[in-house]
Amino acid sequence: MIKTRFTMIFTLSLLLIFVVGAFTIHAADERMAVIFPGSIQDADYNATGYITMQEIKEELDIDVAFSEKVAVPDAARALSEYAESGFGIIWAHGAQFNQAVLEVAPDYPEATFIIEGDAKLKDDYSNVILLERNYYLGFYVLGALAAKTTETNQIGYVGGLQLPFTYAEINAIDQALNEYNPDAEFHYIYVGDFNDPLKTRQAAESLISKGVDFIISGVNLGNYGLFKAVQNAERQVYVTTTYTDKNHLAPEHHVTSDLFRYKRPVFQAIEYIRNGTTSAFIPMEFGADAGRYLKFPLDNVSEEINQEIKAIAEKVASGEIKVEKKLDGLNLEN
Amino acid sequence: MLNSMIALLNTTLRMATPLILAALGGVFTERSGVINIALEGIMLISAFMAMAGSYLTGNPWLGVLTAIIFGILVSLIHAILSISLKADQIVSGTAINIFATGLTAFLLRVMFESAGQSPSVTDVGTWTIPIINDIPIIGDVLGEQIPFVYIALILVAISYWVLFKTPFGLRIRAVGEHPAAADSVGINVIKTRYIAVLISGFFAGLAGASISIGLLDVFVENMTSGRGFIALAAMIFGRWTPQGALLAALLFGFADALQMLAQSIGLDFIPRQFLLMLPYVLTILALTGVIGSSEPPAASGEPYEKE
Repeated sequence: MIKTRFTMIFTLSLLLIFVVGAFTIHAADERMAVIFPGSIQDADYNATGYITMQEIKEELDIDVAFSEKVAVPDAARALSEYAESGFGIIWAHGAQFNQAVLEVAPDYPEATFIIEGDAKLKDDYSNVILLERNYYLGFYVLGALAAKTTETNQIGYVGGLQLPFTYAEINAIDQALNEYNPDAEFHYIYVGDFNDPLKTRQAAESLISKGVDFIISGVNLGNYGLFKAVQNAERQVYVTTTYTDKNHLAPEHHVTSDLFRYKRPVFQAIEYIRNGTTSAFIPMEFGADAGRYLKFPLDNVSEEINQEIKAIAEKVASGEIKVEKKLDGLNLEN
Repeated sequence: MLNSMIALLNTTLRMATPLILAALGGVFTERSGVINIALEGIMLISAFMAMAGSYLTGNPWLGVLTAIIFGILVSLIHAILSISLKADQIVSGTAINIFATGLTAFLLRVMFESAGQSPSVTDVGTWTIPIINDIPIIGDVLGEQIPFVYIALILVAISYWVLFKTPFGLRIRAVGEHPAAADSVGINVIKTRYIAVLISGFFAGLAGASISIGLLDVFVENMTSGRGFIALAAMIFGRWTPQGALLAALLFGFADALQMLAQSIGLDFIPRQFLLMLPYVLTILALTGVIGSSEPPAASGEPYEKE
């Protein structure tokens, strides 16, 4: 009798585990994990991703988990752990994770991975959705802004590493300068690190000594060195930044930021996944309501420039202005 | 062109300052026979403490003092581990470097509820040297700088005098070369090594402060970016002498500033990747002893056991 009861309880327990397990697998698509390369409180690139993650949780009612400061060598392990834990959607926020995702994704066909990049993938992956960031579109408008604002006709760019998307940035700036101020000279420096404020300051000072009075920044935490350099400069030097508004850090010099809003493309990716599409290419569009937009009104420039740049930004958004996407190095004539 | 050259020299001097200070610290500790690769971590903690001191008191010089105190305290940990407990000095230094990264990130979050960077604080500003400032070119380079530049240059001279012209300096060098012989003539090896390591903490503390509230007015996570290691390379390149460390640090600073200038003037016949590599190539050459053979103090890295 005891043996029979034990067998029944054991069988029911197994059944229960199976049912719960099946339910968990079914619900796995509604669990999302995000890995961030840096701190979610960096008020920069990582913060923009974190804000979107919170919006996903609140507006789409998806359980979210995240890991911050994930080093590239640890990415594959972190991604695998989330996939094995039943997370159906895994967003790797940062193109440096792409290689790890592409290695791991085929092993976990039940999960869909969202990655960010600058060009379509060479191979097809059945469970990878790529968000194309299109940095260059915003940098074209920033180039136009620099072209119209400079008094010395010397424009500078400070970047972190030489990568396809940073090449696209300088090429877009160069295109804008040629179109709106052909007399302007363009000087660009890669400091070798997106987050080294000392080197960024050094680079900015080198540009300022060349007469540069408008610096377009492509660095992250390095911006603190840039602000220090422009605040100590003998002449007025204007700066622009990326991802988040940083005007409060250098209010007399900061003109605008090329802002990122991941909500739209990531929500679109989730909608695809819910509809059964797990392989897609989603370009992040540029424009007032899109994933990328410029902060208006512009600070520290005239109303006339404000209106001109707004018009240019709208034309870039509508496609009326064609910006060339060149992902390789720039050969400047000057 | 002249403006660019002046800017180049000006930037070289300023950016070399943390390297000079940390390298001086390295000279003292290694001359006494203790390897201190924890300079990187001590600099990072001190950079944070300098910012925190300035933030909490509003006085950047109290920030500098805080940085020095914490620099000495952290170096004391290294001294206890490597001198008294005879732990492997490289392992002890590495542990402190890892600890520093975690500690500063943690403190940043606890104090400011943010990560990545602190709020802007009062920095030490610049000093203007009246007569030098009026001399053409020299005045443009040396006339107005952050205080740490002048402090570093003065400390190079003082360090040389202490190490090579005083009995105390002789004792440091003796315990680094042949501790048993030094002990046999009555020199307290343990005490001398402790003092040398604490002096290195003082220098690394100043170096950290020079970054966060000298060259900048903010603490940014991991802001030392390997400068403690480059300072060690400068120390080796400078053959464990203050004047040599000064010149090596200036060379590294110059290489860094030069690659920035070369990029800004568009020297595109030299690949930018190569220009970015330049300071690090020099560092590797220094560490591998390619530019002249370098002999460290004979007892460097060896714990002392009294017989």
